[in-house]
Amino acid sequence: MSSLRFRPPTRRAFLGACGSTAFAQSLAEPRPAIHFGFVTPANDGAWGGDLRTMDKTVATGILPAESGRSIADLTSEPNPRLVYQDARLAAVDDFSCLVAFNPARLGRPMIVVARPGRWRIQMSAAGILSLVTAYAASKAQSSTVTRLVDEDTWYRIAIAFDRSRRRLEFAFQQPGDLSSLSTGGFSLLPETLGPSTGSSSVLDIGHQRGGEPFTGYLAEVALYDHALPADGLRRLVESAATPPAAGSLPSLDASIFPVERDPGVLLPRRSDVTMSSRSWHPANANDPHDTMRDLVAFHATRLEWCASQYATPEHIRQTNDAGIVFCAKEGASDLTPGRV
Amino acid sequence: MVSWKQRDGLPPGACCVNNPRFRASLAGSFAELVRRGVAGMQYDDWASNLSVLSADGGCLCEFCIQRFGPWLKANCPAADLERWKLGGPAESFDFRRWLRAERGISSAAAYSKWFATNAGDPLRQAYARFQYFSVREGLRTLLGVLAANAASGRPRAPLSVNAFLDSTSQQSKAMSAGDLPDYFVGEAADESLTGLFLNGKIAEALHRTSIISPFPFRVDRTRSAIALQYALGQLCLAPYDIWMQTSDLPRHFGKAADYADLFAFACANAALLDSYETVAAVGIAVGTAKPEDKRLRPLLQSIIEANVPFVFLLLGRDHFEPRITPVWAERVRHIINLTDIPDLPSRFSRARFWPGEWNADLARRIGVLKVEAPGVVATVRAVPGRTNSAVIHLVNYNFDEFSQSATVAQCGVRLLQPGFWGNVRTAEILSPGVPARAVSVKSFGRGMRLVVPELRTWAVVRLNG
Repeated sequence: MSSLRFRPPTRRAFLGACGSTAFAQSLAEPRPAIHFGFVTPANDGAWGGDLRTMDKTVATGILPAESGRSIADLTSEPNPRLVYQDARLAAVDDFSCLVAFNPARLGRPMIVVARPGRWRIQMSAAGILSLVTAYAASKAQSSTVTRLVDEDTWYRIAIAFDRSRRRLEFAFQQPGDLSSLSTGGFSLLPETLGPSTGSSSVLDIGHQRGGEPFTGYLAEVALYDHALPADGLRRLVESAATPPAAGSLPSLDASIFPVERDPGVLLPRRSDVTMSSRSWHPANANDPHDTMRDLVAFHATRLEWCASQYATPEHIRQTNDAGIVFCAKEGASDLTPGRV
Repeated sequence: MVSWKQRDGLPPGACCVNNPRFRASLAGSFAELVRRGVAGMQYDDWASNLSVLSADGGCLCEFCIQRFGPWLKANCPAADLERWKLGGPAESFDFRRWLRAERGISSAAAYSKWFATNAGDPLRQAYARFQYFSVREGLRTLLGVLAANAASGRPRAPLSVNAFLDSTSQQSKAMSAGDLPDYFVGEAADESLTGLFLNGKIAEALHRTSIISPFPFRVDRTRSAIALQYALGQLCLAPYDIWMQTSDLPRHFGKAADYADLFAFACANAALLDSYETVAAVGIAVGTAKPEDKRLRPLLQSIIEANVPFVFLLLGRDHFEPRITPVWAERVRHIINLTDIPDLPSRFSRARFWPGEWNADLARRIGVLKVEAPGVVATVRAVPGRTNSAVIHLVNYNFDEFSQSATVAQCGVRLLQPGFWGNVRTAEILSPGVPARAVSVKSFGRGMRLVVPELRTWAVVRLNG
């Protein structure tokens, strides 16, 4: 059940942007408690610890010791359950979260990141991205961020839960498209600010127990144990270059499929102009056609399919003198029964 | 029994490859022509025995019968031979006598009927394979003749055969020996876009060149076929001294003036053609050991209309196993799988596999360009190892009711998936008979866009980083 793979990014810029550079920029803010750039299985945020999956067969291979991998591929079925667990999470109330994600396929609801019983970032089957905060075991407040989420497209969303201001703020952007930036916030229902409905020490990434798994790619997940200001959220979503498309094609240069040509054979070139003259013209004084004249008129570089009986030394010489390759045709129809 | 014995005379256009006199005559002729100075040899009626396989059950001449027994002995397990009750040692097996004794066949008509209606008969199957083997062996012999007669230290003359590859199955005549000739020259059996792509892409996957001879009934349609062949990395015979599908029609001699601009363009831009190879976003895996998958042609039509660059991955072993180079295996990242071969994921470890139906999700992932005008075919080619070498060939397949080409004005081309194209800033448009022209490449949504001011038959768009 090795359904989790980490795909190599196709551009070094992406590595920097989604990995160390983004993280370095975010250092202008206090360091996140949890940060996964998916280059290693380790949380390189302040708390440390490892990302785990709930499937042991996958757990050992989720982040192969191979450099340059920085995208979690959650497109296979069934998806693995990616989990980060730390007792300190249970005490986090105000928080900020950043996710870089790409929904490979829509068509069903999906949960991108969740703290069970507290909050989650999710998408509807139609691609509506929303934030959900829970305020009772079975009650939740859902607020739409955008209706623009599309398949196979990268997005970054940062959210901040601020208890003192009773606000949930967000910043959202499609990397590489400045016009897609949207920021805003929602007033929280008073019940949300009451006692936590859950005290889980778990951060579910790419799923939530009992919920629909996320089908797509993740490039970065970060969690802060405090609410960042609005400009801080904005910096987080603007800090990345355009990631490669999900399930991405390599660059054009790496998509060339060369044909192997035998150097020991005089093969046609791709720029050759080929012309046939089954018989040699003019055949007689009334023949309007002239093989040599017409070879030149067509810009031919290669005479093909000239029946062998016309492959005389003189015709070959004339053709070669004009810089044209002479190829003859032979077959049963050229061999009279008498010759056989 | 079957009347086709060599002493009965030759059937038109074919000779039995097992006839030693014919083989010697052909080899002698090849050797003489090469010594005379020809630079390449076409074996026109190469399919010989295969040409009469489906209709007549192959050749049953005395030479075939003589060779069939030893072939059985060498190529079939002893247990099978035992089970088939040959009535004696395999090496001296007489197929004609066996047909008469075991199947009651005593006439050519009866044999043809038996052959057509008993596909499961093991000896019928063996005889068909023997006929394929014989033809392939004949081609190998000719390759040996050409090699033996090459001038010292010089490349040998190539062998071409008359073939248009209109099926991916090795059970088809054209594909049954696709690995042996150096290139193909043949009349185009299907000049639809699907037919031309099918032929060109099969040839490419066989690491061969296909030179087609279109039937030039309409000048502008033939011009587009010529351009498309260059766009595919293949070639097209100039429409001159052309057989027109039937010998009842006179041979066709096209006017050079109707086509010379295209061919002059190819010559003048040899540097943009010779070293350029196919760029592909997807591989279509087809099994060559079975009849062609029914999904293939509809899929091809969709993929061509969407201008998705692709290659064929020819898989499976029947009369031969097509070679897929390590570079191809490593580079293909998306595969539309039309086979039931089980080990493909391990063979193409970096690829994602898709079922054989065209769908929007797949199109979005592998679509790298979009031509805004309908009826314009695009291919992408580039030079391995040279950055910023990409060119896009645009071939206009828009015709009016008189089959005259309809020029496309302001032909927009969008480059999707910026990560694929890299940073393209400008482009140069090269077209036959038109001065080269630089155009800008502008951001357009998530991608880029350029405009070809006027597309007549063919344009090559050279992208500049």
